[in-house]
Amino acid sequence: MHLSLAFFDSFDWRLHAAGLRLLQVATPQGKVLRLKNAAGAETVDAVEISADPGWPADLPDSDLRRKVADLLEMRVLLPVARVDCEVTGLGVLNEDAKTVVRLQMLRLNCDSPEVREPRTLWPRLRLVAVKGYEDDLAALAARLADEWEWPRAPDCLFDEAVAAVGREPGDYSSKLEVPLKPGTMAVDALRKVMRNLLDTLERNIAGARADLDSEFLHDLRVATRRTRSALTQVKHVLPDDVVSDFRQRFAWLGQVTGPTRDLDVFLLELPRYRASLPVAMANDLDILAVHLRAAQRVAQQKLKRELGSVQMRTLLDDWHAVLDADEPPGEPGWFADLPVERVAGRRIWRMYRKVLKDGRAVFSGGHAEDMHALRKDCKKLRYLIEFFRGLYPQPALKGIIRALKDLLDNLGEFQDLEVQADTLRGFAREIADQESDSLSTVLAIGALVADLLRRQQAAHERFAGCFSAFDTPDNRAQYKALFKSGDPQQG
Amino acid sequence: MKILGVYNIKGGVGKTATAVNIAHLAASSGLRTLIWDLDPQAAATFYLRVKPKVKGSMKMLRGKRDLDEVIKGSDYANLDLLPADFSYRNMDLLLGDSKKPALQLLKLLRPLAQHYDLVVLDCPPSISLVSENIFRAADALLLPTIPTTLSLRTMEQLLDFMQGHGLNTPVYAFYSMVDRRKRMHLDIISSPADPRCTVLETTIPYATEVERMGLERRPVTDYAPRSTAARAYQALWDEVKARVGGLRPLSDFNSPF
Repeated sequence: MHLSLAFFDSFDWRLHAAGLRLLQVATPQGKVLRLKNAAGAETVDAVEISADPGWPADLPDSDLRRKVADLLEMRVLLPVARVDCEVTGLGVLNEDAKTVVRLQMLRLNCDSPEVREPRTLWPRLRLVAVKGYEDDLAALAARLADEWEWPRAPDCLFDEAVAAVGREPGDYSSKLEVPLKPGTMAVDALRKVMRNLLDTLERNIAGARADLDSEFLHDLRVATRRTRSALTQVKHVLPDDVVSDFRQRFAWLGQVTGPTRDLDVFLLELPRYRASLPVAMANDLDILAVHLRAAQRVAQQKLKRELGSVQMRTLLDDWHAVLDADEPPGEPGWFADLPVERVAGRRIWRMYRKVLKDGRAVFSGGHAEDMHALRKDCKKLRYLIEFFRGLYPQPALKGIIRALKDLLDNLGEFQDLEVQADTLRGFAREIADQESDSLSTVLAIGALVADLLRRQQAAHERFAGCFSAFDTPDNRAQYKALFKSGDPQQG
Repeated sequence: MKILGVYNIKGGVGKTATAVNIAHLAASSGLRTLIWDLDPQAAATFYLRVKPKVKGSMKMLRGKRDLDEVIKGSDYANLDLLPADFSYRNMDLLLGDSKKPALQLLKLLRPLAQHYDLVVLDCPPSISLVSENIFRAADALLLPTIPTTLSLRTMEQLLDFMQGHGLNTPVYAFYSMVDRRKRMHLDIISSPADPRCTVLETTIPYATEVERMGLERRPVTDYAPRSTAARAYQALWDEVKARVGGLRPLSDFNSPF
């Protein structure tokens, strides 16, 4: 018997993070998907499928689909490792020539798109109990283990297969975690952070170009934004020429990736939009959906070209040269040689003071533009803390990051809803111009816009509460203790 | 779980060979299959190389002992056997003691539903309380019939009995041990049968390969899978499977992972 096994997960290992393994077993008769826990036990009923799994929503309706879809959200399933399995059946017979233990000899070869040469895994001998003859199995197993000292293989092939194709569970995460030591020169620490960001950026290019799912582009853009923020916010560490050159070049990358992301967001929001409308109007968004998909396809084609362009290639190569060289080219920044904790503490403290000041101004009767500016600063503050989180005791950081995140979520919602409403108005105008029978679509978009603006208003009303929760004596004391002195605590 | 009774009032009609070969084909197609040898002669048990002895068989029949505990695995993946026991000759008396004597067998089988897709009952000949239990438990009866006048009479007897007891379990008859050189066999096969049962298209030929099952102690579908007899059993199984319906294995049965 010949089997092909394949493990699937999202690019960022969401199933693995939940302690699950998704295994596809393909035989000449068909394909079956099994969702197992780390010990190799099935957690829900297996599901028959006709093609490799991709979007969880396309799987047959089942508990397996619901579980996988909940964990994956907007991410697609990708093969992590494939294993070819040749099974030879053997039996242990008793004196009546009756089979009392069934044996399966397994020869396993590992293959995956990332591996050039297939690797051979350790062969396995699987003992299968024959009902009513369990004693014979126990005796054989004991003999193999005790007398022959055969090691027991783990029930699940996952760890072995993943290692064989050169991957490691959790080897990609969009979360920025850079281990840093106090006392490191600021220029070295900053470049380490930037190398980490560059790695994230590069690892998402192929997926973003192929549009496997929308998160590749999203993560690529976040890495770009963080890089720009690191360039501009951590001042006087890298040579000024380098900063001004790459600021512009990463700004270009931000621009060329923007249109596709904006459309991706609308496509991701579409189910929510439909749900927010009365049932009778939900189908009125069909034309909008077609319009969005067509626009996304065009934008995606352009994005694919840009990400494969010479400009992109040289940006990455030149940036590597800056980050990988012993020293960055050009006149070192004034703070390049300072210990990183002093530079980090000072920058974070300053940005925090700015956020406080501007936030208090908004709190006492600010305008929408002020909220937008405040959001930008909050984001810079958050990025700064994330770059240098390795320098600070984690429990203390956790609290201040949460308070900042809540505030940012509120500000983000306020702005995003407005942008969405504006963009939808633009779509309505385009659809009215292009389509002959567009009245119901335009009306439905109108209802959506009203709903979005209502929600935006609600976000505005919640701002005071969110900011108060951020501007507490306790939180202020935490910031002061962590960042003001410029001498981070050990922990 | 579907329950298939292989039955005939008359003995020596190829009943056990049918039960064993069909169960083997079902199991190798990936269905988790149990064959229950209800015949005290224990032929099916012998064919599958299991000792015809059930510890605590009386307790089991009274429902005091799980069927699951006495089941034995066969030489084939997915195919298990509930062996025969000599005490089964008294099964009528035992079943008669229970509260609902005609439904006792079904009650015993029900807990197995999560372990098996198909149960094949190899039934003892004769009409008795055991047979009535089988008729009531089974989703369908498979009736091997030799194309002779005497066999046709027993078929009618069975159908009368079922009608008389208000039993409407579908009966699928098929001609077994067919000798194409015999005029009478061919005549009977070509003439219409009792309309109260369905006669399947497949006929099982009289063949020495089938007789060898006693020497080989294996299903003919295992040791001579390309023989005429094995092919006939395959065709029979395909027909039965289609008639009974709802029998579909997972594609990766027997997968080690």
